[in-house]
Amino acid sequence: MPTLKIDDKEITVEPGASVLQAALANGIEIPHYCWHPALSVAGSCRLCLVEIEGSPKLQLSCATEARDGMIVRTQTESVKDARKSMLEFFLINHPLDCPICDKAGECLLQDYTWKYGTSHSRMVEDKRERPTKDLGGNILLYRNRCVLCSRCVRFYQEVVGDPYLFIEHRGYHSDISIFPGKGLTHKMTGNIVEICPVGCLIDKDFLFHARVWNLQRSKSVCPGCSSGCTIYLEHKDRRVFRIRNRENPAIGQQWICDDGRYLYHRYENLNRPESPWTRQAGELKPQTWEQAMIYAVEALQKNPGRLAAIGSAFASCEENYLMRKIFRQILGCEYLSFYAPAIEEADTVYRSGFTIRGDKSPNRKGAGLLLGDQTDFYQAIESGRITRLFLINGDPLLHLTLEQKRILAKLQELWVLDIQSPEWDSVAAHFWPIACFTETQGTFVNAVGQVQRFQRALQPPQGVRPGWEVLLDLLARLAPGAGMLSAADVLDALAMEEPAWRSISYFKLGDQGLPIESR
Amino acid sequence: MFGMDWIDLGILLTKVMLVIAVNFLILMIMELAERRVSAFMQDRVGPNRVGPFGLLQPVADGIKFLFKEEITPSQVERTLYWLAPALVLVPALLTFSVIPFGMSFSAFGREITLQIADLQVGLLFIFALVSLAVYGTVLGGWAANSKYPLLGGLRASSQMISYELSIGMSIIGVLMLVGSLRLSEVVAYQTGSLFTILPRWNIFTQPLGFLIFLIASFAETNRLPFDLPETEPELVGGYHTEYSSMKFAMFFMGEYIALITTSALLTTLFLGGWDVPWVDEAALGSWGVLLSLAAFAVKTGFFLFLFLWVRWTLPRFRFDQLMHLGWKVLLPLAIVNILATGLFLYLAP
Amino acid sequence: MSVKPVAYQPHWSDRFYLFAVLKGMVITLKHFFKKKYTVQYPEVKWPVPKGHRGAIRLNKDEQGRMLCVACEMCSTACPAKCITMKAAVSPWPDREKYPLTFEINMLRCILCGMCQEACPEKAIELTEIYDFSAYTRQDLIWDRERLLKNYDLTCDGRYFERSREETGL
Repeated sequence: MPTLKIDDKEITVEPGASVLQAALANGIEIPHYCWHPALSVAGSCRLCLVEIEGSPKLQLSCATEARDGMIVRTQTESVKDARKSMLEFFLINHPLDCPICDKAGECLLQDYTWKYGTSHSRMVEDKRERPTKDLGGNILLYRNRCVLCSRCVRFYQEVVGDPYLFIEHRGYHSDISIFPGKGLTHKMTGNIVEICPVGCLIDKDFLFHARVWNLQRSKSVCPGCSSGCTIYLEHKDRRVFRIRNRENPAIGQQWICDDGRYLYHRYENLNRPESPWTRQAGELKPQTWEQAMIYAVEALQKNPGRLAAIGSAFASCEENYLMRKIFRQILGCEYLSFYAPAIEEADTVYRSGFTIRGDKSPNRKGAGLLLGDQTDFYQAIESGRITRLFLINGDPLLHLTLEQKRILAKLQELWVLDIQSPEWDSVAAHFWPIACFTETQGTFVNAVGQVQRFQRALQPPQGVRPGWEVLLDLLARLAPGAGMLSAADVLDALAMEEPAWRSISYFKLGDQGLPIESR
Repeated sequence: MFGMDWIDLGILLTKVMLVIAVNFLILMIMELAERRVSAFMQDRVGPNRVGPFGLLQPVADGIKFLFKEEITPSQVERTLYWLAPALVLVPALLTFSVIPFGMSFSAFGREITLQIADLQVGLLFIFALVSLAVYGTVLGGWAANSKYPLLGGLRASSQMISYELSIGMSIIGVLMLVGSLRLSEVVAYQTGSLFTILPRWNIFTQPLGFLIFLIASFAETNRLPFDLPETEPELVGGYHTEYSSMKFAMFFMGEYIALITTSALLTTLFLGGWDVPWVDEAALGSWGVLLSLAAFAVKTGFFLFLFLWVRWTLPRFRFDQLMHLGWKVLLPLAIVNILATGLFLYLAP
Repeated sequence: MSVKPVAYQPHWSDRFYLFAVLKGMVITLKHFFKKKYTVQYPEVKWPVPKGHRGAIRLNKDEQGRMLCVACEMCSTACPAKCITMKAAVSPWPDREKYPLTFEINMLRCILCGMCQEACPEKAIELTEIYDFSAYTRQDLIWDRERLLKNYDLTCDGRYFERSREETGL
């Protein structure tokens, strides 16, 4: 374990770590562009220069291995001077169009120039102008802004394993380029926008939509597949503007795919009613939540018929647990299962190990643990085992086939809790609008058994309530005195009952979550 | 009825109507003049939008007053609260009944005096009514059952008592000279000339009395610099704080009519009333009557302007200064004036 | 040097007050006949001094296009948070971004001029228009067109002159 001194601070690091890693891990900032923790060392930006005792010249801290007894200085005059000079070079051809650049506010060139650079330029010649290129997919290449750090090039080589991008020409003429006839059409493109330290790579999906400093961030979990990547929902004015990667070292997640990155569009313009409705004489009549609840409490307990409850792989663990609590423990239903879409494609694994799962539901594992195996409830309806059904869903892509609709129409009574209603208009007897994943909170269990928490970003529209709140309301009316008031209480109750969840709470989950089985 | 026939009654009613109408006309003019004069003295223009030169502004104000919400606060003493504005307005109007405002002339075969009632005790009658007017103010302040109006009412009563004395004393000199309380005789006494060049007005024979009367009448009419009963900055309007709409307007009108009456009284007592100096009006026939009316109007107008002029020149007195002036300066001076007049009458035949 | 307080001793003529009162009345009478300073406002507008911070305008270039590039510097600098905009790809080749909607809530605006300071394109400016009251709240939420109209009113610097010419006063 080498021990070195950086700025008079004793630091012990893992063997093989670079000086830059040692410094960053101990809160000493060394500016850098080309170095990225998930990529190989390029040493091309020359910004991370530090003074190492015994070495006549400044050394690259990203490419220098930390050795025992090394004495490193990051704040000497020569280091500062080198940084200043480098930044001046970067800005020679940079257009300084920050006002119209989407990166402004989270741009490393801005930050470093502000912190380490000069306030004016000595460059009197005209700046080089290169037209902006459309790389295909959602990516625009603003070539004028590039600092040639090569992060995007290395990302394709090392993470995707398919070198789409390369640096064309040499020296002054160096330029990021894509092979002729190719376009960035695969599922990892969005990541290069995130790792680009400047505003060179810009996402068309977000282009000019908002300035980044106006956005608020909420920690969430991607519901796009069972990988359960942790994400930031960045929102403003009750609208999500973009999704950003939130690295989760606990499950080794460093990237997110484009499916997840642009997934928030699925939850925009949902066709959702403003209040619950019920079917009366063939017509859909709006109800207040109070009316709907009073009727449901009465009907669920008294109406004859074989009642069943169907949870969902798109509903949080809390919601599925409440379904079980209400229908098995209180109403004594025999038939419990959950909805999950069919797995139609194989997992996609990239070179770095990043996986896009074929299972396109976020909580199949959690729902399975709570509600038992997934069974074909359509068959059960057909066979008459189920005559009344209470169903929760959350899948924005749910599509009922005509056959399924025909079967559902056989039911005496069908309650549906879903984020949008069109699919159910012809079959449900009662529809309760619930909040979609950006508007509620809860936990998902991903494919590797990590319980991860997602937080609420937006307020649900008027008349729409989070699913857990609706179920908790129903539970409190069916069996008063359950003592649960919030989603956190529900998770606590779940942890008490279910051994797999033992001692899990929102507080303990933190940002990275906890594994479910290894304890 | 008192030996009157129908023509007499008709003439009397006409005079009454005329006096009231003219009073209200002047009231309207004063309402505008107050604002225009103050504006002019402050290098402003004042209201000039309603009608030509803003002449219809008083009409607009009247309409506004009529349409304002009439608020009767819950804690007021209702009867007196309703009575007080009338008690201010009525005595002020009544005072005018004994003031001669023009030369008498013959018509319909009888002598017509341009005075509603030529009482033998005209001056006493005026003092009685002026003292009554303070009841409106005091009752208004008391009936509102609120601290600021009450303070305003208190101030009004103590101010009236103090200055009533000085006024009464200052006028005794005039009475000693004229030898009558009848106002027509006071005017008649002042015709002719003094030392051949001056008109024989009481202002020249009784300069000190005039000054005391003038100063005291500012206090009597609650005008600046003696408007202590209604001081806006300290008493929020004083006795009429709790009044709104037409009831407030009646206080307002009462005050201005008292102003007009006081000006007319000053004219009658000290500026020779309708007398035109160096001119024998009686010899001019009906032109003389018109001339006398005009003279009366001009003199009264001068005093009205003086009231405005002083208001926009002088700041308000403090209450102790007001009392000091009334009791320690004006009252002794008035007594000295009586003694001096007596001495003069004793020495000169 | 010590200061010796001396009680104010008025002259006997001042103590008499009447002369002082007359002096005062002469002064007010003089003013009665002096020139009046009142400006007949709706017809004649008082020309405010240069640098007055009044209604906001959005500037145009020589071709009549708005200069704004929707960088949101103004709304970021705005302490009252009264500027909102929606940016879009510009239809002109010489710039990339322009405001599709640009809204200033003049009910919130405190006319501090921070937006003008922050603007990198000199596209937003405060003008000499000071009378912009309206009958409804909605009328004071100014959109792009209203702000560009302010430019047309004030770009030649003759806003007050023109208002005088129009009323003929």
